[in-house]
Amino acid sequence: MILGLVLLVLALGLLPLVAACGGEEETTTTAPPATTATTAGPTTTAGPTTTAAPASTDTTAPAAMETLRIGAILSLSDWYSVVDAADKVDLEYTAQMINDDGGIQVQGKNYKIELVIEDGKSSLDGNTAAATKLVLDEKLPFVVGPGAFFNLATTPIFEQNKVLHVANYNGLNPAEMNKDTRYAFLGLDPITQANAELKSLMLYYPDVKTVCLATEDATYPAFEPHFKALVERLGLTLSGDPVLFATNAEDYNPVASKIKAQNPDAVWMPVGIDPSYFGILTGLRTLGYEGPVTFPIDAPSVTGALGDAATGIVGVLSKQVTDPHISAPMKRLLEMGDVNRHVFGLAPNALYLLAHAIEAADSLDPTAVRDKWETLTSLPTLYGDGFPSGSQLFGLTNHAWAHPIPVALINNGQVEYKPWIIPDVTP
Amino acid sequence: MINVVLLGVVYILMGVGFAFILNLLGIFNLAHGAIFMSAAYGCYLLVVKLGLPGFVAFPLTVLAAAAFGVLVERFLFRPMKADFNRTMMVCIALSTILVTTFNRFLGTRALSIPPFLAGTTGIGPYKVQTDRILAFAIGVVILVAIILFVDRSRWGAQMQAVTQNREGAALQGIRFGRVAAIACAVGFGLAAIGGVFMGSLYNLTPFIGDVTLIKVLMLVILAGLGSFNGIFYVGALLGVLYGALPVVLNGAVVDALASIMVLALLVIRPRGFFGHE
Repeated sequence: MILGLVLLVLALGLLPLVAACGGEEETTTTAPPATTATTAGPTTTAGPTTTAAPASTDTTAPAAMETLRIGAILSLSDWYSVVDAADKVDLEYTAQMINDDGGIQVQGKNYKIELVIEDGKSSLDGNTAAATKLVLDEKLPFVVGPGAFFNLATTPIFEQNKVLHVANYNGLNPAEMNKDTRYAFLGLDPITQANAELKSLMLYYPDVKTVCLATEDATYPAFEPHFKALVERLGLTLSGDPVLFATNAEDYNPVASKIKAQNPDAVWMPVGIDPSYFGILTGLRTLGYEGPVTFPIDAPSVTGALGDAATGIVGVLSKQVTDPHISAPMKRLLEMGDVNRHVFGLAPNALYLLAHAIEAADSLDPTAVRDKWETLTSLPTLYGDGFPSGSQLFGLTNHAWAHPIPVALINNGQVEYKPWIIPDVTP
Repeated sequence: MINVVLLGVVYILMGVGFAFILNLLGIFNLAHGAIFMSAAYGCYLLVVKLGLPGFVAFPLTVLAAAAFGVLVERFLFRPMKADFNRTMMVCIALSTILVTTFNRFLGTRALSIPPFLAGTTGIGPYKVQTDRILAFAIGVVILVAIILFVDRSRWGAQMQAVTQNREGAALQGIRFGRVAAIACAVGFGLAAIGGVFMGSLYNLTPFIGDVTLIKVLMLVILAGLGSFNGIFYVGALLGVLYGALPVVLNGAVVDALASIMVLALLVIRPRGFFGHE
């Protein structure tokens, strides 16, 4: 009986422990004052860039702003919520940031953003339902998201109803975005992220000539020609056949063995998830492989999970307030909540782009915004000055966008932030 | 090689835990993966947030999981009276609650339980993490203990009796409620052991249990429902499959191959390798 009571206390003790230790995205603070706009030139690396939210010249919000309802599709339940639940917090902060700066200014009126967020439920069906609700029930003209391959489900619905939609990023499937999807825009051309990884690798490890491409298998068929072309454009050589891995694997040591067998100068992992990256890296280091490895990172996650074993890493996309090169809008976004939270910054950036495009078009008509957006060659992003990319790839001019990419080197568990890199424009 | 045997041991631990509950209670515990995941996070919290040494946190986590198993049996499984539909819904609900809780509070980062023993061990260029050797050794000891428990202990004998004939066992004075509670405690405890091993050797996400649950289901079906021995053989087989095949095959092909094996076996031998009527 006594033993039973002890066990019961132990069991119940774990639940409050979970609650007490978590909740990293809970805190809310007031946004700092707005910044003024500057631009970054087309250099290889960028210094700190500051970009204003829309209507930033008027930091005092008008007494009575009208409301502009903007839809958003995020997968808040099931497997993809690992990314999108965090992105939702920052999407709301971004809307707040824009609203604090006076909202979106159109024809002399200031519009406060009101987000209508639907759960895509980490499935194509869920995303279809979410898009249908936003379009047919809510009758929204603008939608942010979804991310990943979920655009396969939503793009047809948005296009048929002439809803301007800005995907967080996509999987390069032509059904997500092609020459006929005139209302489709893209917050981040994924090839530019891959480009930034390789450019950073070459910048900080100039002796690297051969790389082993290790990437997630489900998305690889769509990425394959573009990854190979990118390697060729940068003058690198693949050390062998791509090593493909499943993101639901438990043990990545076999993958690490295959990579090491190619004896590459460096390892490039453009697509995957943290458990894959960490598992492969740990396996490589255990096997004695000492070459640099590049992949998208969240620096605290890497050092937290790998400790001192985190070494020889060229990481991109980590957003931290301690990064001296961080863009002003991103710093401001980080400071709106727990500065140590994991900011994915995908949907928030799509919203930021959309807000500026609407303001540039000076119209709330999605077709007018689209037409104006297609003429723009520069737009502010949360990461600094954005630029169009992938016109040939997507068959659309100025629909896919890119931006400066954060870079960090990690050695012996220590993070060193480097100047953000401006990726090459994808043809 | 160590990857193969370690994965095999973890699968066997999970499979035996699952089989305990299935064979004795007739419950397809779809929350088994969530228990596995929760235990891994629990151990992480004890080690990283409370600063407990791994060797203290590990048994505490297993005990907590076992106690949770007793509670679940008493307050969730027992009232359902082994009704298949109702117990399935209970398991799905339990799994959803646990996964959502951990995803909500800790889900945005991949975490890892710090190694119980740091560094690598090996001969020449052939190295392996010391932690893996330790996990393998502990796993083997626990499996031997489980075998002895089932074969040699009075409670084990009672469990076997209930598995063979519940009414007959009751007529012999065996209290089913107590046996069921022990089965759940052992089942959940074994899931926790597997979870802590995987959480220390690999990485934690709220969905790691889903993947493992599928493998456990494969294991139990391949072994044959009701077979304890089969779980050891098939667990070893799955260890080879998932530990070694990725060296020669890419990505999800391994999963597909395993699924084909299960499908083929269900067609050729519906009762599994070691199943009986």
